[in-house]
Amino acid sequence: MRMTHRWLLAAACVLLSSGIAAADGEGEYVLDSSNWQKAEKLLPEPVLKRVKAGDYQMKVVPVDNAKFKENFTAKYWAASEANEGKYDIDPATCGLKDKATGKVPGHVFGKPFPKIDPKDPLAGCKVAWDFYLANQLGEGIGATFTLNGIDRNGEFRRIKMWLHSNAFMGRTEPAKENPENLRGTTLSHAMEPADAEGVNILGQQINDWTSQDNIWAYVPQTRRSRRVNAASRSDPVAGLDIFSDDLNCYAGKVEYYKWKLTGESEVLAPIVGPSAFTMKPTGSPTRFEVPIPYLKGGYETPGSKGAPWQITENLVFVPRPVWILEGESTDPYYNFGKVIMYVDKDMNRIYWKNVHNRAGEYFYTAMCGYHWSKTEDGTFGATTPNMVMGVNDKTDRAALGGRYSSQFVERAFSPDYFSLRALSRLSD
Amino acid sequence: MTPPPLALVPVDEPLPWRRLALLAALVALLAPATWVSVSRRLASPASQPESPLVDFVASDVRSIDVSGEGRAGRFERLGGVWTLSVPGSPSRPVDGELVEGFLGTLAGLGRLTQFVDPDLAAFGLAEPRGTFTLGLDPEVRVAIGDRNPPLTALYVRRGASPEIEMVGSVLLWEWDKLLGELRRVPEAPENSGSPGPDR
Repeated sequence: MRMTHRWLLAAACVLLSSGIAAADGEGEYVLDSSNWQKAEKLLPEPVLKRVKAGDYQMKVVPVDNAKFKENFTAKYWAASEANEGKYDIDPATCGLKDKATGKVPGHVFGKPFPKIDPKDPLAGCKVAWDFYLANQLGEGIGATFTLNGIDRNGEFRRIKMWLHSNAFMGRTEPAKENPENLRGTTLSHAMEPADAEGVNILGQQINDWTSQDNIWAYVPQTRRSRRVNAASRSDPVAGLDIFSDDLNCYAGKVEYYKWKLTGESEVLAPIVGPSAFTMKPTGSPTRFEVPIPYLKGGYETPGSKGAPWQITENLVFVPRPVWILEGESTDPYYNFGKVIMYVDKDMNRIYWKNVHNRAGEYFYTAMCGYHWSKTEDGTFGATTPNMVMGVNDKTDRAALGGRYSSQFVERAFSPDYFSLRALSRLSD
Repeated sequence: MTPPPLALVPVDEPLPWRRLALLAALVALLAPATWVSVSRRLASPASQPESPLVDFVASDVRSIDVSGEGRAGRFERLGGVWTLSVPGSPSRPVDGELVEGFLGTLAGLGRLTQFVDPDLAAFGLAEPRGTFTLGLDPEVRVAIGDRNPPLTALYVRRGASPEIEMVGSVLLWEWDKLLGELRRVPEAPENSGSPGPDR
């Protein structure tokens, strides 16, 4: 009898373990210098070159497309389908136009262009709009995170800051008030180190086709808020190899770039998850918390091999179909020349971007990792930029941004919170 | 006690004509310098390179002969429309934006550096990955070699010049798109006169 039990137990263990292996590991592999050929068409060339050289190891996890799409709410997909034919593009500016009114819409939930025809000369603008509005689904979002400057010797600078944002145009539910006719607004505050502490930045994007971003910076040493040029999004943040325009891999208004769809492909997409995390309710009915696993860097992982800026834990790479998009600003003060972006055909996330400078030299690649989150009942959800790995291939230096281990989602931010008054008071 | 006068000339007295003339001459002297300095500050950063790889106006280009990956073809501007013809296949219209994009990028490219090295193979220029010839007066032929190790720049060579020039690698991105158009044309049957492989 005892023997029978043992045999049954052993058989059950074998069955269970084989089941886990099949569910967990099917199709999974670690991409590294020994099998880099597997990703020959799946990564931008400068990234593949680093895999080949042993700088990066990536855990590749195939996902079922239908299941991956469930990271967005069913409501989002239904609204996207219903938007078909409602919107158009202003060809001169790439601005979004409501066909019924001929004007820029105030609120659009779902993709404005659920079907993209690659032969359409305005396809690039349409993909850009699907991307831009999906960024705003979470309505108000905030997190505290670090920017880490990293070279071959490890971390050389660390900045701690928080960033809060409020969306108006692509949010799930329309905002109760939008007195300044904004698409979105952000407020950030630097906390560490001492030389950066108290620097606050307020950003606004007006909902029109022609205006540039409004950006103000408060510097505590002078106790003044100064207006900053929109092109400063392409300036390195605090001398690091990372730029404000790396948020979501592109943080400007759609109209700021000239967009062109130049091809389609498949890439390995950096994802935290890959399934949506749960938004946990808090004491406030409008606020949720999202716990997220920390993305450890090579520089803080004992015994890690390869580039110290690679992510060693909790980031997976999912093969995804993408549009290849070119973006270029006509603003002569913008430091970037041609930017090549890889945008998910279904999920509208920009995963990778290769950046050229104004002289046409390629110099920088940003890897933008995301996570999704949904409420327990699945009726409200968001996609959020989780991290950026910015690599300057000219200087062989990099920066990591984000990698926060919790974020909040606020559905009812007061518009007063994102104001010039708040900008200076934060550091008083 | 009366305070000393602040002005050199009492305000109720007219300026002597000599001082007035001196002041006018000073203003006339400083005005152009101020104008130059201020207008420079207000001007946008230069969009054209100081030392262009090819000094040309994109709209002047009548044709581009390209060869690479063992294929060759001619992009031609015919009545405002760009067409592509390859040996053995009829000419067909192509995406004009693609060709104009190539020319626009090329027109904005400056030399990053130039040097002479007889070892062309070390820069991928002994057997270039491709060549293009701009239909200008006179024609301009450019051979495309390898990129530098960090992939930031591209080695090219103009005509039979002994100099190797380095330009931004964005040219390779544009070149690949142009070649992509050529790839879309079905291969010509053998003995149709198509050229041998470049590389």
